[in-house]
Amino acid sequence: MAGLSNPDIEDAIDPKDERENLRDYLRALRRDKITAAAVLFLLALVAFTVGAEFLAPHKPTGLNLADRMLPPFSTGKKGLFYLLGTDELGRDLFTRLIYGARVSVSVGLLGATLSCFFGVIAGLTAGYYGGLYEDLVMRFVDGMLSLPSLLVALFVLFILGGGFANLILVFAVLHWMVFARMSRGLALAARSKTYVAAAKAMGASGRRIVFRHILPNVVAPILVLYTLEIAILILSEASLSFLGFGVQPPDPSWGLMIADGREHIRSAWWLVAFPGLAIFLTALCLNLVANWVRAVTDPAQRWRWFAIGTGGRG
Amino acid sequence: MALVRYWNRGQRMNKPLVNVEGLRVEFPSKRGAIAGVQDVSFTIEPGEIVCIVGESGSGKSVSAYTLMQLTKFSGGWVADGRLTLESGSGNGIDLRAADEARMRTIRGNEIGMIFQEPMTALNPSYTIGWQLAESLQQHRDMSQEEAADRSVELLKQVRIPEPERRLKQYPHELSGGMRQRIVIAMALACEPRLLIADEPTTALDVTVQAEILALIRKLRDETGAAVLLITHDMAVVAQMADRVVVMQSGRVTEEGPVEQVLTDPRHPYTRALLAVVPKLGDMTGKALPEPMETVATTECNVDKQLEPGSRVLLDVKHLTKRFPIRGGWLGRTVANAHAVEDVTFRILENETLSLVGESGSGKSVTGLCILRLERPDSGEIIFDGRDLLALSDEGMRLARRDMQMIFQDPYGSLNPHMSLLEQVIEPLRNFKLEAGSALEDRAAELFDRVRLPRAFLRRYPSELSGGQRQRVAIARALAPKPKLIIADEAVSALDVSIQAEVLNLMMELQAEMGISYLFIGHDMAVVERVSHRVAVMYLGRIVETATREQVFANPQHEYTKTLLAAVPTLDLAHRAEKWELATEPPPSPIHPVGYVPEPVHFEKVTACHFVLRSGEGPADGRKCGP
Repeated sequence: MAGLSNPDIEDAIDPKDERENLRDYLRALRRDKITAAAVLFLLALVAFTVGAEFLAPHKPTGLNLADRMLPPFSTGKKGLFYLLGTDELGRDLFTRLIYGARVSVSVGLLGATLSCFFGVIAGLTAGYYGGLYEDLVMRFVDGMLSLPSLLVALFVLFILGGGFANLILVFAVLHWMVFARMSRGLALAARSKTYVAAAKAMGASGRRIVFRHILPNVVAPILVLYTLEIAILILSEASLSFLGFGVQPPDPSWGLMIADGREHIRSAWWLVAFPGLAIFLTALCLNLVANWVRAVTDPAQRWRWFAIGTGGRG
Repeated sequence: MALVRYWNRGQRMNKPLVNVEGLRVEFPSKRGAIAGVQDVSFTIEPGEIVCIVGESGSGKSVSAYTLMQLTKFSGGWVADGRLTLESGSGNGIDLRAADEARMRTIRGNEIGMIFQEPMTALNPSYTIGWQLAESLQQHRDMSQEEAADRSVELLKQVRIPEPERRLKQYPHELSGGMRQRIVIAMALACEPRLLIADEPTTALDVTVQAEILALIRKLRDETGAAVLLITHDMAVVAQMADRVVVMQSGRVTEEGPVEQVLTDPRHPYTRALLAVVPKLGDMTGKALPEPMETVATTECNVDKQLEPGSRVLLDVKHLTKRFPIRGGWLGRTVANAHAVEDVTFRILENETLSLVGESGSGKSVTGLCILRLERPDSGEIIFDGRDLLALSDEGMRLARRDMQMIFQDPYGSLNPHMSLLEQVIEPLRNFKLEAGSALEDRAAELFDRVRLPRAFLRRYPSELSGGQRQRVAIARALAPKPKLIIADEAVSALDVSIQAEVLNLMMELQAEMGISYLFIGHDMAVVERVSHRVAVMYLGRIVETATREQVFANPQHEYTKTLLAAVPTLDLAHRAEKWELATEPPPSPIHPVGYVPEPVHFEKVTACHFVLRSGEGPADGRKCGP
């Protein structure tokens, strides 16, 4: 557009008007119905997790053998209403889902965050610096990846003992390699970009180039992997808890609930279906929101989300 | 086949092939729909070459792409106007209303497309033969054998030597010029009646550009297909067009036969466009560089003569850089690409040395070696009295304070995820020259210096035009007050008017701050404007070095002469037909391991004027040109 015009003319546009504010984001969100639904789901999840004591209709460990195995939307003998039914000990499934979210979501979040943190540092530096350092890191990654992770997890947890903190630690140790591999590839690609050469010419140190120049440009795919990892970790937690090395019953977690419900899948499908659905929806919504955040924070892409035009079809 | 086409042409001589009337294409934006082009009308007669010329953002590509309904893939839509393509039956095809199925029979079949970047237009994972056959089998229902035969025929048509062998090759095995000929062959595959060529030579070297332009003209004569050529370069228009459509800000400003538009332009914008084209020979008889004519309001403030100093700032001796080519099972080095071979030159204080040559000549690698962004294999680089190759990594990092670089592509050299403020203060921060609020003040000063509004500091690169981005790159290079700036094709990606402004800015800064430039470029007309001295590079060697006047008035080396002759001119009397098509592949700089190149031997022509008279490179150089 500049053409033969004087660039000073464009001074008239105040960048403050140009910069998107919260209202713009909300409007963009409102137009993107699916992402908006995902955001609402995640907000509700957080609210329930934080305020489980106030929001849950029943006690998570309260036995009520009279109301065992009730299907969803049923009323028990004492007139109690069970939205999602009850399990084999008469505990309210909805309540247990809410409490289970605490464990599952925090194991997923913390585990993924820790492994992402270490994996990205290792991968980006390996990809950027190359040489012997890269060989060492990547061969170590290969070695770690060839270990049967469930077996290692069982072994470590057997020695350290189960429980929340150890579980997260084991996950971080066993999952950082995925991030390392991916970020190494991204750093390799970014290393040959002109802006990296430019940064070097401007006297930026290696560390500055990796974390200040390359990292923001490769966040998008890492973010997607991160959300997928959260879902995977929620499921891993399930198998470990099922084997008795994770969260100890009667504390609920989504994975444990699926494991317990498995025995009754023919007679009480809801015991498996709802925790499964919760894991699925959480992973899906995280993915959708991550994708959206990536798009609207990309300086080159975001105008599409704020554009007002209707398009030829409209 | 060609005869039938001519006969068809005769039948409909008075009916245009393409008719565009009152076209308006809209795109979405934050402030609602905006018009990319409006009220655009033009016609293309059968067998005619029509050039749409304009600068970036003028809507020239949008107008052409709409003919193939390709704008909808970038979010645009036709809001108004009529687009008709004459069909054989006499009824026009309404290109606006045609559905996707109908369009597929038109794209590639009735209308062929030649893209700007031949590497990205070809799929790297398939052979040339496969890609050519694809559209033949799709549109013409040919069997595999028929398609293969036709492919050979097509490659012969675009003058590709050894066509049978090429069919089995992959795109990366061919040179840029060859690839563009393949793209043209693909566009011709189904004998389209219209060829749309979008800046077909912008990504190519000047000598190759001349070949491709000549080829397109020849093919037009042979097949009778009309050509719609989109370009920003008035010289290309002069070489090619029968008729010209000049566009500015989405509107047609002038339309007419090429003779009239070039010799007697009616619209001031056309006159302005013609005025800013740097012309070879403008500087004859002038000893020192001079600013360019510009049409913009920003005047150039070069009062001081651009006299070079006497102290040597940069002394490069016997610089050599080879890139190993690995192959075989164990990844051993099987050959070396001799990127830079025994290159020696000096730059004085306050002097501009231009390093010219085509892609692959090693000029960019030389620039990168000086900053040690590439590590040279041997040689010596003395900068300001210090041996750069002897410095530690940290020492080199600090030494870069005095030598900055401006890269060719302003889209790639700015980090898309950093605000312009952060990018401009980056060197100040890295070299610890300023801190705190002084950083921001200095950034604002620098933006004033390169005449960008301060409000832009908060923006991101994607919110700027190409010329504005290159100003940011210059501001950033100026930040640590360097003694030497290496400008690697710094203006090649810019529109001519912006190019003039950026070059003038660079010259102004030289006069004021006494900066030396290593100006790496391929456009001889620009080089003639800015340089004190010129070094011509070919296949990794400097083949001729002299003052600017000597090189342009009395070129000695065969390659220098070719380079000068290949520059397209606005002169209608010297059209591209006379260009012979080179059939020999250019000589390769790749040599087996252990190959010892001939030592360089320079012959002195006059004082300061040297020509290479040895080495394998130039002696058997490409024979092309008049």
